[in-house]
Amino acid sequence: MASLSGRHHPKDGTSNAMKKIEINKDLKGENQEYAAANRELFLKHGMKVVNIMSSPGSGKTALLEKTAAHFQDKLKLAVLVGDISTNRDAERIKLAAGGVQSEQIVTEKYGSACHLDARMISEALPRIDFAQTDILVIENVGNLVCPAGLYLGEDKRVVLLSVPEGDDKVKKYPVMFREAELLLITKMDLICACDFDPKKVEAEAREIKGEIEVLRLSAKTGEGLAEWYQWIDRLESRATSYE
Amino acid sequence: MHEYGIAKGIIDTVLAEAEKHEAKKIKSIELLIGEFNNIVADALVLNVEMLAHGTAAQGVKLDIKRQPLRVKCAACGKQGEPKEALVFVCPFCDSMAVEITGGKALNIVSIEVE
Repeated sequence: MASLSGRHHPKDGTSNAMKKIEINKDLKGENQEYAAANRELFLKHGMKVVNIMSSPGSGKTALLEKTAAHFQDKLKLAVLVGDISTNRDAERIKLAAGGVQSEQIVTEKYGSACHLDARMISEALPRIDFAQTDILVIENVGNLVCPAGLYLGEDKRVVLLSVPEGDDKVKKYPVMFREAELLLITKMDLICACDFDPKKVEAEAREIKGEIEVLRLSAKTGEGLAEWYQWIDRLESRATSYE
Repeated sequence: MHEYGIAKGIIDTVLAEAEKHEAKKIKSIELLIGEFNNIVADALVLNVEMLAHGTAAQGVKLDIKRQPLRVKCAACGKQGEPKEALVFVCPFCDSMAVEITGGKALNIVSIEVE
């Protein structure tokens, strides 16, 4: 691994030797190893995995409450929810759909991380019954920046942008939108109260990622949910892994 | 916060390396950071300084080499750097059908110790 190449820099007549140590370590390497192991487990058990990301309060949990209730008798859905503190979101999803497996990852244990990483997923997976899971949905910690850079072993990435957040966010957080396969514009029921142009958001998202799919929905009124459920229904495993 | 986790990874790694080589002091850290990681250098420096306080890396200098974003265009086949930061457009033909071929590195290259 690291090699030592000595260089001598005598300073002020002292014998302090400055040495250069080659390290060449990829800081994402450890995460990639956990992610690859997660991925192997998912494939072995025939599970499809979605990583859902957005800023806090854009409606991830509300959408998952509806989704879990909708699929209750149709397919086996499990949810892993990440938050810095509390089990509130996992409890909400359990309340919305009695039988669904819904487990919380509290990142307080991991230095209050503002994202989920592959190791946290790996350590939470023993709480999920794989035999009772067709689709695992990972609800990431609310944040439009950090989660984008960390591959968890998932098949697809979904990013939410809610109407009250504003239609200028796609270009402000380009990496997040570049890394997603599906963009959900949420809280469409609030469109009358906000200066939000969904066409602009779609156009800017396609500038960043040509093939991104975009759906408009409201968990409150049910607008667009049928299309979202279809998207979940036709989920396929990803052929190649994320970098 | 984004930079904190990365700074923690850097400090943990360099302290372990320094110990392995029985070095008393880490003077500098050379990093290669791809533009795609969207890292604010000042924030990274601040977090490293904070974490280095009271360790063998206290006062360490960061030598940050930036790796530009590179894209390969599916339309014209050329490779290059987009004209604007984090805008995924071919610099030759303005096509948006590009694949990212560079700029994702996040590496500790080397350290200088004494």
